[in-house]
Amino acid sequence: MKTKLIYSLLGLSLLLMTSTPPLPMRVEANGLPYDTYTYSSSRQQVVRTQDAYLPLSLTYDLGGYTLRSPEDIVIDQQNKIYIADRGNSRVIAYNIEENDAQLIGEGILQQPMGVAVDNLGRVYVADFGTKQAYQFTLNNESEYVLTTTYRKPVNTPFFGVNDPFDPVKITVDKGNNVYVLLAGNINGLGQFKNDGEFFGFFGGNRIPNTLENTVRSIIFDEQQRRDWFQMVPKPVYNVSVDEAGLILTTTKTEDGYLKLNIANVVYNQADWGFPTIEDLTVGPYNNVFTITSDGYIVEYDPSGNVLFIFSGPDVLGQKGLFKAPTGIAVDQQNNLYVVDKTTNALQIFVPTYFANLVHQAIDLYFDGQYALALEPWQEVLRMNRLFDLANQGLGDAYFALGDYATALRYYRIARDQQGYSEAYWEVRNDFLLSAGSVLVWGLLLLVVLTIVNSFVPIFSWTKGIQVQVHQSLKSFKLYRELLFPFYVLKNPSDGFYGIKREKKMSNVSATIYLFIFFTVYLIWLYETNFLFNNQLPSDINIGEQAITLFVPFFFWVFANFLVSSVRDGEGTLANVYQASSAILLPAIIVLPILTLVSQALTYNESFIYDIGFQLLIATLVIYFVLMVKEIHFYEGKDTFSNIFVSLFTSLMMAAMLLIVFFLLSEVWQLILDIIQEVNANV
Amino acid sequence: MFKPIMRFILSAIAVISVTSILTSPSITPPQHNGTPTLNFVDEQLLRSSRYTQMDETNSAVLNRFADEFTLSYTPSQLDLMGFEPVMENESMKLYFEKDSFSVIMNNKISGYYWSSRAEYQGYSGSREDNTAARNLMNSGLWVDYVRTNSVSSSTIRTDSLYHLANVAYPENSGGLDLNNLDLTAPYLINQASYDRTKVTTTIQNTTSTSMDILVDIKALQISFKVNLTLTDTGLQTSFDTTTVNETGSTFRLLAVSLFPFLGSTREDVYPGYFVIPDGVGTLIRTNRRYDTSFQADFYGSDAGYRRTSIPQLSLPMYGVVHAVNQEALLVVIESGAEHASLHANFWGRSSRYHRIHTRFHYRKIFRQLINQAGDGFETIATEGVTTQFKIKYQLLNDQHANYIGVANAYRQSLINRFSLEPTRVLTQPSLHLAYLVNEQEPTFFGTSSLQMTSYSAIRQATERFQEAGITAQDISLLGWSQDGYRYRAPYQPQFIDSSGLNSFLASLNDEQHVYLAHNYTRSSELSRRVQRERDVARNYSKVLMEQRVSRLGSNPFDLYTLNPDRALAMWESDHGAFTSRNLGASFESMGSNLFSFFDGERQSRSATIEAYQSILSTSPSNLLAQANEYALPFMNGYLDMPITNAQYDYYSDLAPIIPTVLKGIMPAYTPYLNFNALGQDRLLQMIDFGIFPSYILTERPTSDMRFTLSNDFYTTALNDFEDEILTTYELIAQALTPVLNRTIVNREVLATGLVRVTYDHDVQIYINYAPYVQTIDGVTVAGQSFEVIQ
Repeated sequence: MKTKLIYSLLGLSLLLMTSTPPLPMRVEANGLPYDTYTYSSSRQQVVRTQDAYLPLSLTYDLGGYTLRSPEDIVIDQQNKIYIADRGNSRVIAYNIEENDAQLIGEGILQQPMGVAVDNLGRVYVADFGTKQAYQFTLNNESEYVLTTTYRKPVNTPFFGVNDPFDPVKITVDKGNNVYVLLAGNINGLGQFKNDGEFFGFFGGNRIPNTLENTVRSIIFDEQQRRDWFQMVPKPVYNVSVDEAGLILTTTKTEDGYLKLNIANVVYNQADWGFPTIEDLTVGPYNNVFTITSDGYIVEYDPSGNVLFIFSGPDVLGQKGLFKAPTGIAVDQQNNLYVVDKTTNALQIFVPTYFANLVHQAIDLYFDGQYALALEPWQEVLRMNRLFDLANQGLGDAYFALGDYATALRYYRIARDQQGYSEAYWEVRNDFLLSAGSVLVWGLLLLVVLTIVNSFVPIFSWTKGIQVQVHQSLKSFKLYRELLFPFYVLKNPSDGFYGIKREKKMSNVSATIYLFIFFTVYLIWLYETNFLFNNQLPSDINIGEQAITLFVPFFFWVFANFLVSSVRDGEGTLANVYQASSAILLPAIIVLPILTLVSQALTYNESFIYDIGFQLLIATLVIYFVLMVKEIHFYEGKDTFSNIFVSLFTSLMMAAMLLIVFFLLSEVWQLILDIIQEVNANV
Repeated sequence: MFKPIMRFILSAIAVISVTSILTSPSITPPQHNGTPTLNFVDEQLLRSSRYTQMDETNSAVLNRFADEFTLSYTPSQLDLMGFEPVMENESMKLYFEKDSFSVIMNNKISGYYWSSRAEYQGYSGSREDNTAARNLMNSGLWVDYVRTNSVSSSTIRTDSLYHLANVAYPENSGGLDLNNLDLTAPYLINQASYDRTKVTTTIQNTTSTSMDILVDIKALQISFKVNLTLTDTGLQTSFDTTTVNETGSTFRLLAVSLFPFLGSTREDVYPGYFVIPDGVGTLIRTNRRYDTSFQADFYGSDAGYRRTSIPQLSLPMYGVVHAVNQEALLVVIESGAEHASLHANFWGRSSRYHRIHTRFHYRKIFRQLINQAGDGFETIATEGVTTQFKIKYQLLNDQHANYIGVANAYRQSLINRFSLEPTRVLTQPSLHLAYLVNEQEPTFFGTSSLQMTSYSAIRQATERFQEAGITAQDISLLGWSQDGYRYRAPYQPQFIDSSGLNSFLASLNDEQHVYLAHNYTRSSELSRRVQRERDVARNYSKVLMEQRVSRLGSNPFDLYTLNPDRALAMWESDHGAFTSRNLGASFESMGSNLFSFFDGERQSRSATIEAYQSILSTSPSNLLAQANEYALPFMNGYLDMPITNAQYDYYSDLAPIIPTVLKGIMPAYTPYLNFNALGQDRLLQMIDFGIFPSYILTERPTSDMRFTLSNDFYTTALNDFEDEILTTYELIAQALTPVLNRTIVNREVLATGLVRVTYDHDVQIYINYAPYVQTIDGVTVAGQSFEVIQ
């Protein structure tokens, strides 16, 4: 869902849905051929932000060598670049500062597709052609020589004789263990000791725990699941390692990346991302960069929050965009390096002033130096008031400084629910402490007044007015009808009988109830504290909400009437409509209370809201069942059968209407086509 | 009044260091004594096409060009090739060869020859191209045509006159004898091969400065006249569309290219560049192999016909510099640019030459749709366009032979053609502030007004800026109508807080001008005023020009392009609101969007220009963003000066073409600096190019409008920017006050990241983009800073 969202938004700026040929890409603010986006937690959408990276001119010549179908790139601590030059069967070690290149593995490598480098400068290469991975070491003559080979293990339960061993990517952790990514292997990365000894798999994907898969697991054995449902884990597609030695993996068709801890458990992951990631790398602040096969680069902070989304597909040969990117790397200054196997070029990006500010803030923030991060976050925020991560960062900073009210403000702007909850708890606590004596005195006064009232009824005059008003209004039929659902609540059997036989309600009062419910529902949607409400006010569309509520309601009413007509139900259409409206009363009472209560709660007391809401649902279900039973005078079994058949009928009616709608649109389209063709030939 | 001006002048003088100019340049390299030096990648950035690069200084390259590739022909050689001297004035002598429609222009001041043919063919010693390619290189006129029974983009043929006349060359010709160099050899044809039953060219109506050439392509049954006129400033060629005569029914003329190889350069031997007005301006150096091609319509792609290219060529001109400060050629499309495109092909697998030329589209292929699914067929209009196509070729040499010289010569052409005068005499750099007054916010039911800025806040801010010394302010009001702002135009002329506006207007001085932001070009279904069927333009395929978009904070909606005639009608009913208060207009989209459309019949882009010029001419004053040439005569200021260009891979330099052209004519403003992610670098570029600052502001916090359609203005609060505006302005004023109302006469890149801009009164500004100190000619410029030298 999120991915679709991202695509739709990026697509907006690049290829607008249009009746004319798509717009070509354009050059935007700061003179770049792409827009830069970030993810807004407050709006739950991708939004524009300041440009973060500038592309340099493309590099085709690397110290006298050119690339052919490069597949991977990595940079060592000294900013030396290593590129798996697949088409030329070699790895190029390129010193960019001196424009000097050295070849690795000539005569040994056939189709190098992955390259990695360890802290000692040893270079690891995954070669799809020779079905082996290699380690090359710089010798005293400044030449890279083969020192270790990583082969398919034999005499091991992990590999059968016919199992393929196709190394495509490689990485090495802090302990110099080598992880070889094997194409199509569902068990994960082949884990080798540095000397070449295989000792197992790491980081494989798991089959998702969906209901469907659980049922299959119960019914079928593993072979059947594999053969019939292709129920196997997806193979890992690419791999990287962070500063702490944690392994990161990506999988095609899965959004973002996973960061695994040493126990092979997901430590954290991208909060969202693209499903077409081609390569990923980890930067100097443990910020993660991914690039998709269509050229979108995403930078994440160490927790997996999206910082920037930029670049994209190249149609007409513009700098900073890509045709078929295959590898991404980042140096110690946060400069990005990307290789493209179609253009055979190395594209470098440098961070802008804005990106450097964000990096500075992120670095301090993840180092726990919240107070020091205050200043860069403020400057980031000044440059982009809607940059939610800065709002969150400032919230955290003020929280750490004990300024909870200010923290609360920033958390609220960022819609950071957890942060807001914690800050609100503190603010509320302060309020309760400071206003404690007033509250206690107020409570005491209330108790005293209640006691006094029981002896000397000083408030009896208010009751008199209530009774008087009630009596005068009771002369109106509509008033009596509107009060009747309260009676239904107390005495469901009598109440529904009253609706059915004694005309205690009318279609007018039922309609009023329906609209009151809709209004209350909208207030609940809009006004419930955002801790308990993921709906953005700006996203609420009255029309959509009306359709969401009213269409199923009327389908139900009509279907239930039809079904009960043929199943000996006693209720008429009006009875079903009036009774269905009447049972909405619990929601009309409870939803405003929940809305109010939500304003005073934090996540520590969220159970109060949750229980209230669940009780409401349970009540509605009970009254719903009772309503069907009493209106149609069914026994228990018939009641449930009627409900299920009515619901099914509702679905069928919806399907039928859709079919009619589509058929009519086809006819309309045909008419338009005829008009257009006549017009074209005139 | 004079106090603030004096304050700025004094502060400017304070930073001006007058130094004597040394004869030999000396550059202080980056500092290495313990302080961080420039990162290699950062240096690569300075050497990228986001900046202008140093010109060729390698003497071997310059000498090779001077010695081997400086074209020169003797009269007898010219005669041998069929060239006749046809016109001459004090600065140019023109030779013409009618069969191939080729010209050679001799710059009489420098003696340099410019040929419409690819020169030095066969310099490798052997024949380099086949006959068809040689015919293209040796013909000065190409035609694009199509068979009427097979109209399709894929069946367009581009043929040269020589090819149509079946010209052939002697056997074994084409390669030069390097020991006995005779440059004419590759151009000599088998005279008998020229089939005059297929093509004839006839010179008519000859005077001392003008002649018509009737080109009769019998092979295609198409004929037309081309006029050559020698003026004081150069050679003017006119393709007269009224003379096009298509007698047969088999072929139809699509386009004409005049002198496609004029100024072409061979391989890497010319130490110059092509000047292309893409974005702010672009150079493509001709000293390397690119193996690619460039194509773009002048005035941007035509949305009503087909959108194919990214570059925004807002000025109808280009330049060819063969050697910097030696020889250059300026080409100006004086008429018909809206139907012309710019083409360049670069040395690569298919050619040893870099060439650049225009193509005039007499008629275009478009798609006729027959159903809603988009099925249809390609077809052409019966009639061609009626606009005249005029190109002026102007030769430049010595200190004018560079991109600044090209821009200035074009600037003079612009002034002459449109009788342009400076829109105002500035006493200080002007500041553009756009205030977002009112926006629509989603609410329970529909939307409601969200007033982001009150007029009293605008008045107070204007006064505060004035007190700080900024008297010259161009103020745009966005969302002045009750309709709101983004995607709601064309607005109904119902002012939000009319009395507040009046009192604000009454408080302004003569140097403060107010413009209402309006848009009669782009609209959407959110506009309360637009009726889809009536107001939205239809493209050449008769399909409504609408685009479905999904903006944040809103459900998907349709963007519209408005019918220019309807736009004019709406303006006519609105413009009283502008004139009654003498308010200017800031017409968004109008300056940079030009399209053909269908309105009962197919209207070309000329009709759109006519409608827009009618609007602009009746508005009291105008600010336009990234405006095309036809709008310039009606403008009082230029908004959103492009920061770069299309950023094609093969673009080698950024060059301030548009800023140089506009300098002294009207103030040019940068895009809103609120969204500047480049920091000081961007401000230095403004100083370098002579561009003034611009901001968008709101009184209320930006987050208040985060659920409106203006939420991509993500930082706007006046409180956040007031100090920055003052410091930025002060910086810009320090640099640009001494050069107000002046023109740039030279701009040199002295070292990586170090630029010297010279104005016509000899004031020089040194701009150092590098983060380290650089010293040259005795002038020391701090890192990421500038110095003004008088």
